[in-house]
Amino acid sequence: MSHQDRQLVEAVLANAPGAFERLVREHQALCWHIIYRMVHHPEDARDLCQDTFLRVHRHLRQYRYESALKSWIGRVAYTVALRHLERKRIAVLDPGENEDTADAVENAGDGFDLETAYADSEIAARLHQAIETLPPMQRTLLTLYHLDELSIDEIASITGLAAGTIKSHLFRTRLRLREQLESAYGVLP
Amino acid sequence: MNRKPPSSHDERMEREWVLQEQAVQAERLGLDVRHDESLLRYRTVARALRQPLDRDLPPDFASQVAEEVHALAADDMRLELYLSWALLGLLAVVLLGLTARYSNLVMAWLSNPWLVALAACFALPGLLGRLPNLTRR
Repeated sequence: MSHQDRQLVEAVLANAPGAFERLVREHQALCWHIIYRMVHHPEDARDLCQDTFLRVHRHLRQYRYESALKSWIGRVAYTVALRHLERKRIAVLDPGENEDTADAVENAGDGFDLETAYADSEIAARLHQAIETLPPMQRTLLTLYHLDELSIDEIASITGLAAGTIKSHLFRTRLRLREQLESAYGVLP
Repeated sequence: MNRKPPSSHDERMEREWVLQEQAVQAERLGLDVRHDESLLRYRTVARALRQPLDRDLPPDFASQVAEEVHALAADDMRLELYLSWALLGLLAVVLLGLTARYSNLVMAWLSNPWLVALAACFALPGLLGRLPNLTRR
């Protein structure tokens, strides 16, 4: 927990003008990344983000400065998104995720033209498509790790998952994406 | 400690994990890895994963949420005010009821000049204190 976090929280609790707006502005990107990646529906995600910050405002007195404010808000956003998915009966994990990891490692790099793939925008588009079709949990973990540059420990504090579980998800999903990249390149002209 | 020796399968996995992490670092730091075939594959994946999302929150999202919070707080204040007035009204009704119920006793008190004088002693200083304010208006 940083000194700035404490100052900001105290300002919000004291109803200082503009303090809560600043809190939202500072953490809305993380909130959006978590919820939009989980829910994958822009309108629902926007409403859930708003709901998240209303909850944050209502329960800010319960924040005990034990973790970074970012992690605490991220945790609220993750819980809100998870409940939404549970209500809609949408699975957050792919049940067949553990299959064929060893084969994927073995087959790495068969017939892959590096120079072309690195520059090809079509391959980038295919990768994006592959990312979009990942289950909500994997999509979110990858975004928090790669785009938000959060550490495994920070992601663990947001999601409540064990660090080993997060690493396993990251490992398998990146392996799967690399596999899809190679197979997609095989069918390109 | 009874720990199994790592199998070749585990070692392969570990190597692949290290490769993935090196690609992440290379992409974050903008390192040139074109010479490394295995890294480049994961770097392409890491680059795609670092791209901003296709949608974003509206630019005025923070101010909208702040306004919503203030509106909710104002609603809560209004509710508290209504409840206070309701409680005050209830007390007034109870007071009237008690006065009606024990009107004989009240009348007896009012007919006693000593009690009236005592009440005036309590009330007059307060009224006189407010007099300057009233005359200023």
